[in-house]
Amino acid sequence: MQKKNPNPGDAVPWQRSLAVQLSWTSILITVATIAAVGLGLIWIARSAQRNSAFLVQEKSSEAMAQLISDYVINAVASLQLLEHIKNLDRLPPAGQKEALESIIIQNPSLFSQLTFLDLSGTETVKVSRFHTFLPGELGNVAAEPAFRTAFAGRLYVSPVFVSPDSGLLSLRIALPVRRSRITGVLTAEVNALELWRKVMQIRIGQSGYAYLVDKDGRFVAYQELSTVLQRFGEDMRRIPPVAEFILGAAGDKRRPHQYRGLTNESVVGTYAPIAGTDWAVIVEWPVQEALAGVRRMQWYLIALGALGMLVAGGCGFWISRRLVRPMRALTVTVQQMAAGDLSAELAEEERPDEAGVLARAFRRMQAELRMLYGNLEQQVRELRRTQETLRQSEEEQRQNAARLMRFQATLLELTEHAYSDLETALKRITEAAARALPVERVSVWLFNSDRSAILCQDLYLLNENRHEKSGTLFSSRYPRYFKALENSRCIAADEAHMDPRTSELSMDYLEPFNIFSLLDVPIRLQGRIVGVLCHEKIRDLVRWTIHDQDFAIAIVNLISLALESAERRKLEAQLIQSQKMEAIGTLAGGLAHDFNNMLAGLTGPVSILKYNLAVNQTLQPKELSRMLDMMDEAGARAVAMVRQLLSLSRRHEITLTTVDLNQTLKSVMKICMNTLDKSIELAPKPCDKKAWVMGDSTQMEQVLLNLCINAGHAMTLMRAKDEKQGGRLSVAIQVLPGGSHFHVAHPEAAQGDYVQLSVQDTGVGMDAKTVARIFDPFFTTKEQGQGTGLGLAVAYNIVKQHLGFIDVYSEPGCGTTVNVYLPAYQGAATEAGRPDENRLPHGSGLILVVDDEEIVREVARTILEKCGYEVLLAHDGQEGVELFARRHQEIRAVVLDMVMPRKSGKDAFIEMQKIDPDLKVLLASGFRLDERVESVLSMGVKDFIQKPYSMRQLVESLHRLLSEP
Amino acid sequence: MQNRSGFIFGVTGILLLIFSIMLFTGCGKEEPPAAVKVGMLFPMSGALADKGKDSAAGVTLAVEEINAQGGIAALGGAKLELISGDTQGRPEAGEQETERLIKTGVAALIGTYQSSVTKPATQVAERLETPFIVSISIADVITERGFRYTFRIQPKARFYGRDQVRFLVDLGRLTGYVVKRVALLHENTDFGTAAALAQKQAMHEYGLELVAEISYAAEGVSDLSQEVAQCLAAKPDAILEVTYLNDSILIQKALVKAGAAIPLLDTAGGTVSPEYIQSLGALAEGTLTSAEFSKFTTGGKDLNGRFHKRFGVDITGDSAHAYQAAWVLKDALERAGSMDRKKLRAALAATDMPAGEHMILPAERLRFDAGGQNEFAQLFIVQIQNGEYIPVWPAEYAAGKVRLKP
Repeated sequence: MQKKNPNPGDAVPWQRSLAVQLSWTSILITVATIAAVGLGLIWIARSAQRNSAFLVQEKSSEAMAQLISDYVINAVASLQLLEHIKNLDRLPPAGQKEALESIIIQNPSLFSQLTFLDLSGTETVKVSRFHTFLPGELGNVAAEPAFRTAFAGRLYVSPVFVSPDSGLLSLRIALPVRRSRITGVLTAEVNALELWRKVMQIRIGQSGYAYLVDKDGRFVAYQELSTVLQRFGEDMRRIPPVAEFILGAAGDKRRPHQYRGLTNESVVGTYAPIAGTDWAVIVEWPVQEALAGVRRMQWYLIALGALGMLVAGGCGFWISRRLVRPMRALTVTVQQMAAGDLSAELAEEERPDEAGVLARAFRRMQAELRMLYGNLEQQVRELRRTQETLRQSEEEQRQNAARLMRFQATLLELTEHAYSDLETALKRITEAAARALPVERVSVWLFNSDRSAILCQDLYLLNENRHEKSGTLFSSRYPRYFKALENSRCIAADEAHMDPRTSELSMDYLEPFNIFSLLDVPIRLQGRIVGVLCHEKIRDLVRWTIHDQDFAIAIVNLISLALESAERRKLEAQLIQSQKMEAIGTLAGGLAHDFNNMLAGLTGPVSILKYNLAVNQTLQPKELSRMLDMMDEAGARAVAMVRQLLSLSRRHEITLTTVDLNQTLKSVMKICMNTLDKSIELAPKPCDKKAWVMGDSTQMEQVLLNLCINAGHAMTLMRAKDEKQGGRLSVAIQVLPGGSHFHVAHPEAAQGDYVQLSVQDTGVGMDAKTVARIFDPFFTTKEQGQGTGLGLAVAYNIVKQHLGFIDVYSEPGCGTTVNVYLPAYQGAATEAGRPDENRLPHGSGLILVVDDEEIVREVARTILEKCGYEVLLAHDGQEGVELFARRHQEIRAVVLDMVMPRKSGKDAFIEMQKIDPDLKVLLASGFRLDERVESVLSMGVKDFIQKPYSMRQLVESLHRLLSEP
Repeated sequence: MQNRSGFIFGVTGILLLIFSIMLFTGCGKEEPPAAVKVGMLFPMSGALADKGKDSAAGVTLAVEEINAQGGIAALGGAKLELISGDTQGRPEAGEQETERLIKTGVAALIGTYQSSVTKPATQVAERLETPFIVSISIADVITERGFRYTFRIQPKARFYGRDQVRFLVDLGRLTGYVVKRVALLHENTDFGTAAALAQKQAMHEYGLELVAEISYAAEGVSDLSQEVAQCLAAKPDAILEVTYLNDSILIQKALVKAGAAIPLLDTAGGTVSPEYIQSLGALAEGTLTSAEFSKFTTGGKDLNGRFHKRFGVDITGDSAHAYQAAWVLKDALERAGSMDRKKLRAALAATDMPAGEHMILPAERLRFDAGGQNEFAQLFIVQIQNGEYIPVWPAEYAAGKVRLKP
């Protein structure tokens, strides 16, 4: 049965449900009834119990009173009898004594003292169990009530007392001795202990007890003697039965009382006067026991109540549930109807009672409602459809608008940025396109040189947010696709697998990457296809809109621009490089001369030594040492020169670092010293503080060298033959603070300091017309073969790239001053290129060095051992491979020369890689990083180092290599 | 939250308290058990001081022996500690001393020699619910008052009267001297009265004739020749006397002076004191008395040896009963396993000591009836022969024959 309420608002909290209410009611009624009846019963039982307890007590107390009374009366009677038998009054004193003694001896437990008194109240004979009275110890007791009462002819019975002689519970009796008249008085001390023992034999329940009070309500006797001794004579009138006894003393008015009794527990008590005495016996019965039955009954009643509660609750709940069930069923149906289910089955329809009538009425209502509802539903459905159509077109428009906005924003953003290199530009573009469209894959492909295939330049994967660069598609394999590229402005393939233009790609390309839709746009440069931009939707079909296509084409235009710009940059770089080579060529003449000098410094000592050896058959150590020093110096100079040339001529990526122009000046001056005509006086004026600029140090050197060469030529080659050759070349560096004259002359310059590099010569100078053209490429004033006309053009370009300016002041015949301004670097300089030689990264482990040059091997060994490594040396590739095969588990890295006899570095590497695919190799070569090196690097060699290398270069490269995972 | 922290503090406090109590009680176990105080109440001054000291010596010897044997085993070897009181022979003083001793915390009392003092003293003890072991006090009523805290070692007066009369009746069989007429001479307090009543009752039963009954007040008496003369005037075959020490000497002297040769039978009164023999010397010879104890019995000999060694004198019946009282208390303490007076009372009521090392009385066993009376007391008659108390009756305890004056 579906219990869940379809409409929570109609839910009845369980505590308010009819069933629970009815249960409560029936519980209440039952409990109230049981409680009322039970309380009545208890009340009745309680009073009955109390009455019966009272009756028991009454009986007990009466029995006790009777017993006591009997005892006393018996004592009196036996005394009277004995007295009568003995004829005491007629006996002489000796006979009286004997008679009394015999009474005591015969009744030792009854009488403890007997006294005979004459009519004057004088004790004539006194016999005691505890004392023998000597004649002097007898006295007159005429004043005592006992004597007076007896003398008046009445019986006297005293209250019970504890005899001072014996400590016995006693009472005193006095009776007249009469014949025809009273002739004397007999008093007796009666032992009440026996009496009390008898009284105690009457049991009152388990724990009931009795005690005696006298007519004044004073405590007289109790079953425990120590209590009697403690409490004898205590006023007991606070005890209700005692009070009642003193007040009423009439037996008929006795009532049971409940109070704190003698032992201080709650008792039911009553009293009975003792006939023949003026005492009463108080009987107390602890409530605990007296009303035990009633107590039990109370517990039964409580249990009954609890049971009744359970039963009544259960029955009530069951009955009410039965009654409420049809209602609930109807409620469920009606709620289902309310929730819209008009076909809900109506329960209880067959019932003969009111519920059935109600159910049938509901059935009719349901039918009516169903019809009404059906019509309504139809209308609503139609209305909703119209609405939906409207909403869809609106949504589409809105989406299109949003999409267009997004496209616009993306294009704007892409055009706003100029990217220095093609790779970065492509990455940004593919990312932007993927996000804007959006598609999971966007890639740029470019044709290879022979146009036989397109190579992937960049692939952006949106979901993984990474770029890839691999893949080749050969045009011969996919002719239809390439044809379509040639002929289309855009290939929008909604279903790429089906589209005839792209279906060729299905197996090789679309399937593996799960591509469903393609939007490919050919990239054209000057009307010629150079590549293609691919947008690829995976796992989903896309209907490419005209906006998407326009966007893709716009993106392609951006790519074209980027390609053009890259092409231009490449040409520019080539230009700069070729000019640089030209400059070096210009220098080469002087260089060769110097180089010859240095070689002479090497060969000279050698020939001297050879000669000396041939002549003398031996060499003087002193002479040898001198010669070696000469050779050393010459060699060192040669190395320095070659290194400078190499560093200048090196084709390299422009890297912006902080460059101190003072350093640039220093190294250029060194070259100039060797290469410029000796008639030229060099006057370098470095700045007294560091002249930091942000730039490429090689390019800076190139600029300054160009300017210096021009200045040098102006003072030598350019002069007329008859003129005096030479002059003064001043090169000065200073830092111009912001706001100086420079800023006035160049308002476009940025705020802040600039470094001024000033090259001044005393050469031939130029007229204004010439000055205006000096930065044009291929403009030269030199004779054919002396200059290409590129020097200043390149310098100008480089300075522009560094956001600098060049000013030229020249007068014919007076010389020329060229001022270069570069923005001073404000931040903290990192002196790149001037590292601390002392802080080399140290390492450990075994390094295999393979080189055929002994010198190189030894140098490498010295350097590496100094830095903590162990070194293994091999003098060619073959030996290197053998050593590696033996100890490859220990060898952490291999420093491998490229060109060696027996086995080249490349072959050695291939064999080593077979032994250990993960080996780390540092390739060292005198060759520059060209294609030969690249081919080895592409095989898995980790790094490359140019020979000759410095200690730092080798150690840092090796450290970097070993730090890689 | 505050309630909760309060609760936690409370619980912690209670735990700490319990812990410290455990710690303390743990330490307490190292200490020796507290001694059991025992009150000893006899007349240590006044006319009866010598008798009182005899009793005290009996108790002292027993306590010394008990302590030497390891004290009360059930109380962890607790020693008995005697606290002495002095009745001065007066009931009021006895009452006051009883109350004082009970307030010092005694577990039980032993006393008091005089019936007249024992009655009020035991009454105080009953009121204060403290067990009272009566070593010597003859009055019947002492154990007939329904008291629950009174226990008596000595036989009661009725037994004395009965046995004395039996002896007198038996005398004819033993010696050929038939006694028919008997005179009673007794001091007039409880002791004398109770004993005399018992004697009269027994004489009545056995058909002896009471020819005279002379009573006197023993306290401060200096001459009893007149009373003795009255007695002799009635021409009795024998005299039954109930005396304390001084009066017994006076009576014997008077009898000797009057030249009376009839048997004189005392009721374990003054005549059983060594002082009686010491002061009378040869005059004491032939005096008969009932006695509860004799050093000539099997158990008695051994005890007398120890007693003599400790105190330099022979043991008397008083001393022996006092000695026995202390052992009865020891026995009850062992069974009660507690110094609680109610438990001790219950243990005393359940006493049942068969004759043996610690039950030295001449009886089958020692057991109290409902009233606290030793049911099994055995009495015998001793005669002073050559300065010694020689048991002469009944036959099973007799150590010699009755000698009558020619």
